[in-house]
Amino acid sequence: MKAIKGLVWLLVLVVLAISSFPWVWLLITSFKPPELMFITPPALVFQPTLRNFVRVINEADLLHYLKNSLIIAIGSTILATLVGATGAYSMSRFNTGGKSLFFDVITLRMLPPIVAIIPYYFIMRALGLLNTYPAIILSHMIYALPFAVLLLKATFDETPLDLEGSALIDGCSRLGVFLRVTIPLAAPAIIAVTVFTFISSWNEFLFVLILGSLDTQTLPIMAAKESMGNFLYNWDKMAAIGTISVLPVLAFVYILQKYVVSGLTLGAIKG
Amino acid sequence: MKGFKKFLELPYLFVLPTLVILFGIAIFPLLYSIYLTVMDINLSKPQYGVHFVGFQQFVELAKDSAYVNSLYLTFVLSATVVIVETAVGLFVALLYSQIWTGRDIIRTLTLIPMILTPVAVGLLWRYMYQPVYGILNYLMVSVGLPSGTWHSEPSTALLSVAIIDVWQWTPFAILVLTAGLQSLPVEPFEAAQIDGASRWQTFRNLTLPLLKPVILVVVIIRGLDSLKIFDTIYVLTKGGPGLSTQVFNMNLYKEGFAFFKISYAAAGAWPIFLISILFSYALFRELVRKK
Repeated sequence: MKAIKGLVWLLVLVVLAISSFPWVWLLITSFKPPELMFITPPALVFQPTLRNFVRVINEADLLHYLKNSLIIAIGSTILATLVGATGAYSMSRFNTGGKSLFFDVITLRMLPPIVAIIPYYFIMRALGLLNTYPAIILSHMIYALPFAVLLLKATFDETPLDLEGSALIDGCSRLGVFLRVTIPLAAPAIIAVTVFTFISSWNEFLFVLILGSLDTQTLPIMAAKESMGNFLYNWDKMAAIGTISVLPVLAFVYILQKYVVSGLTLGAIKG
Repeated sequence: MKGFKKFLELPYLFVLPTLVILFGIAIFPLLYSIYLTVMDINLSKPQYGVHFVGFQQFVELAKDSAYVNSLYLTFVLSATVVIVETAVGLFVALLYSQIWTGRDIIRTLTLIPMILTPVAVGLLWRYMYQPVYGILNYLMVSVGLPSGTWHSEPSTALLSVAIIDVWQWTPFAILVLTAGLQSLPVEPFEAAQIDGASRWQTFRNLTLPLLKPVILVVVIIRGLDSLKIFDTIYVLTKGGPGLSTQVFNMNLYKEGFAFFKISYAAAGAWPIFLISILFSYALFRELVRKK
């Protein structure tokens, strides 16, 4: 029995090592002096430096892309959470749209992005909205909104009606019930939606690539642009930008672990 | 008038923003995509203008070996990652169900790859895949394995893409299946233990059948998400070398936004869209049935 226990732990550690090694290597690389990036065998021991970060901030205008990333991710998060919460509430309590609306929402969540972006690009072009924040934020709603509706509808479906009922009897308006009873009860799911929408918008690449230009480009676009010159790689920049773009996400997950699980599993199952 | 008044009531008012946004950003574009498909619009040849061609685009697509090849590669990549991620996910979930100490920290460490920026992940793996100075070949050689060609050779490039996806998304299968294992009823397992069933028998005849709906959800969600793979390929190989990693997303991106064959790209997206609707319907039935 003890041997089996030992074997289980050994395998768990192997799994964790394989799973963690790449991103740990990214963090290590970001503190590695640029001249050590191309040597064989790879340098494992070195004097850590902040030079890579200083370089992407000074030479590659990292703060500009960071600002765009923040505007787009925060805008998407607020919009998806507000609209998703009211929509999900209506669908859950009043069965608005019935099962067919629910199915449509799932289908949209699963739509391959290239399917949506080709016509979307032309509509935005006709409206003169290319390279603007609204066009990009709205494009992120294609996934964020169905996700918010699905997760919050599942949560509202399970919230007991008694509390809402007694608040109504006490003379609270429908809207008041929603704001003062339903929303606070669903707080964990709302946090999950907020965190997850922020992360997916922050990480999103294809829509910004197609809809944006220099003014609106985000960190992922910057990482792709700066990491590769015509004939050479800038692994120092890659590691520094990569680290900066994954740090907020790591921080989020560290602080809000238990909410993130239900978000990541799409509420497919209780986390 | 009464109908209009009803429309201003809370249920409708609440669902209205959702409907307006989803219509504006998804339903209307999809309808517009039908228009693009039956017309012939090529932005690189504006002198030809715009004219109605009906289903001609689909005939062209069927004859286009690059397009057909991209569908084939998409299928191979999706099938590979879904099978591997589900199998490994199930194995690790069973492994995790055997341990109690440090479960929270282990779970958090496990989910980290899923939330990392895919572009950063693709670039990072490109760095690790470098044949000469990459860390992977260094590690492989130091344990006596031959060094790999990874993304730089057509024969191994698609596999390299699959490895990244498996690394990043197996955690999804692990998390969902772990939650599924925890929600299984206890009684049948106690009965099996009393009857003296072996570990394998218990797994084969109890765990697997009871877990089947959860496994199905994992397969469908990963299957659908694997049709979206773009970012990692864009930064790892841009579809190359040759056409060896040019999945349909990459192919249509190039047709639409590098060659400006808009109608062609819009038409090419429909077959995959129809497949994804079928899978979504399967997912919908699983999610509704659970209630």
